[in-house]
Amino acid sequence: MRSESEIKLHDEIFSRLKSIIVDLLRVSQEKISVQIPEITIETDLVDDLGLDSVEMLDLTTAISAEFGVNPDAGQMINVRTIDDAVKYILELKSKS
Amino acid sequence: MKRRVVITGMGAVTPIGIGLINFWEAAIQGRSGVGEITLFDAQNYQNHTAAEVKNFDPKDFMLPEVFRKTDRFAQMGVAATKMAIEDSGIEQLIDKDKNNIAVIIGSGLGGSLFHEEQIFKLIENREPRKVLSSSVPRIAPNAVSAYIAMQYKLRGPNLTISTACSSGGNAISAASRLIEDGICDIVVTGGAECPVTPFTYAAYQSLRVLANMNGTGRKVPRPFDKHRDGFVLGEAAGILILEEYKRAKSRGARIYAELKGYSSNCGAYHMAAPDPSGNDAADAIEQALAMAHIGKKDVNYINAHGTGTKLNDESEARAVGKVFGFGKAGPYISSTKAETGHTIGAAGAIEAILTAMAVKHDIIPPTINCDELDEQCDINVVQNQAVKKTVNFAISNSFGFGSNNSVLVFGKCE
Repeated sequence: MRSESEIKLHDEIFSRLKSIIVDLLRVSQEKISVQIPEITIETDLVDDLGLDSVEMLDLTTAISAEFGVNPDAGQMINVRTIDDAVKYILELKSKS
Repeated sequence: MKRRVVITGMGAVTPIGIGLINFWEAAIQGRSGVGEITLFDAQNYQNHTAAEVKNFDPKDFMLPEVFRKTDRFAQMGVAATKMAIEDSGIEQLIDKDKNNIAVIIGSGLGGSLFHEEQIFKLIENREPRKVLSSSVPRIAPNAVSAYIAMQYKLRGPNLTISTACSSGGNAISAASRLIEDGICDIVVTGGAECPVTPFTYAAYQSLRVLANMNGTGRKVPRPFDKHRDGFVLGEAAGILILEEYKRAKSRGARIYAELKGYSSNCGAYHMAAPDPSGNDAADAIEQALAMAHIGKKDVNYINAHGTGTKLNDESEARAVGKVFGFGKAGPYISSTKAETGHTIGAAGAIEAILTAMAVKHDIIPPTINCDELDEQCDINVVQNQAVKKTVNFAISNSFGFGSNNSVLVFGKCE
């Protein structure tokens, strides 16, 4: 059973992660209307969002910049859902 | 016996229209795609005009998984290809697991927009780690050819030709050769360029080649006009489906025109300025006509390189006059860059499209803004209004930086 502070931290990370991913899915600096798919905690990065291996690298870099952590590229292969990503970021933050 | 090459489909994304018919109608009506720059903040720039594509939404042509990974030039290339392939009717014929359909696209600069954004970010934050991993795939000039192939599973030779302003023309002639030599039966070819970006625009501005008629009220660019002073930078993509003639006929394809011949040579003169004698360009024209086995008198229309710079237009006029005769003796000639701007790597391709349409429909597009023909350009320029005339044979000139000359010859297909 998670404490209230743990839930709050989890939600905060989810929200910030969602924001990074929305930026990643947007095309460079162009002002066009893009339908950003709905992102939930269960969203699968590959199956739902279509991220390929290079975009996963971009995501790794973005996570590092946003959260001040050092994700391992090898470990990121196991990150399939948003939930996996949030858990991994929490793990990295607890170690730092 | 040489295999013949015909055009069975075309697609275009241009400053005067998206789609072949929109583009063609705008061209013959003399519409201008030139306006104030909106793609970036050009407040501090001396020049403020560009020929931008209006209302281009990549999601109309491809999935987000494709367009979010590509720079604007590749998006336009893929979009124009979608239209060309639909126009040609070849999609149903493609075996996605096994085919030899080639893709050869011209692009002078590649993914400038994304390249510049990443550089500016790096300078600002001084953190190399933050440079996006997807930078290389987006910037690479061959991204356009690669994404076209991926979109349609085209598994033949995949090339990108980079010869500045003649990239599109050279891509088309290289594509034709693959068919003539029996290596491929179908080639997707053309050009794509989106150079209206902060640094690239500034670079052309610094080269002093951009039209700058601030305050005079004169419209730009003004190819062959007495008061011309440079070109207007534009963006576009033009794609043509080239097919082996017998194969195209047997499947009942609609044929726009035949690519009868071409040439590619180098004047070995200067990186930016054309040889004022026009001799190298004249040679290129003669070589193309020789390959096409047609005489000078047979040519009804020339789509000029006609950028609107003092130097190009004068030397091109000299070359054309040398080959065909000066004044009204020569064939009609027009520069559609007056409408579309100079789209660099895409220019040869979108102009090939207009030339093929001129052959198909017997209408010659005008050179708008050519109000007072320069006496130094004593050739048969179609000024301001389109001309209805039988066009059995037409040529398209592209004279690129580096003295790089490409001439294509189109003819009606019997």
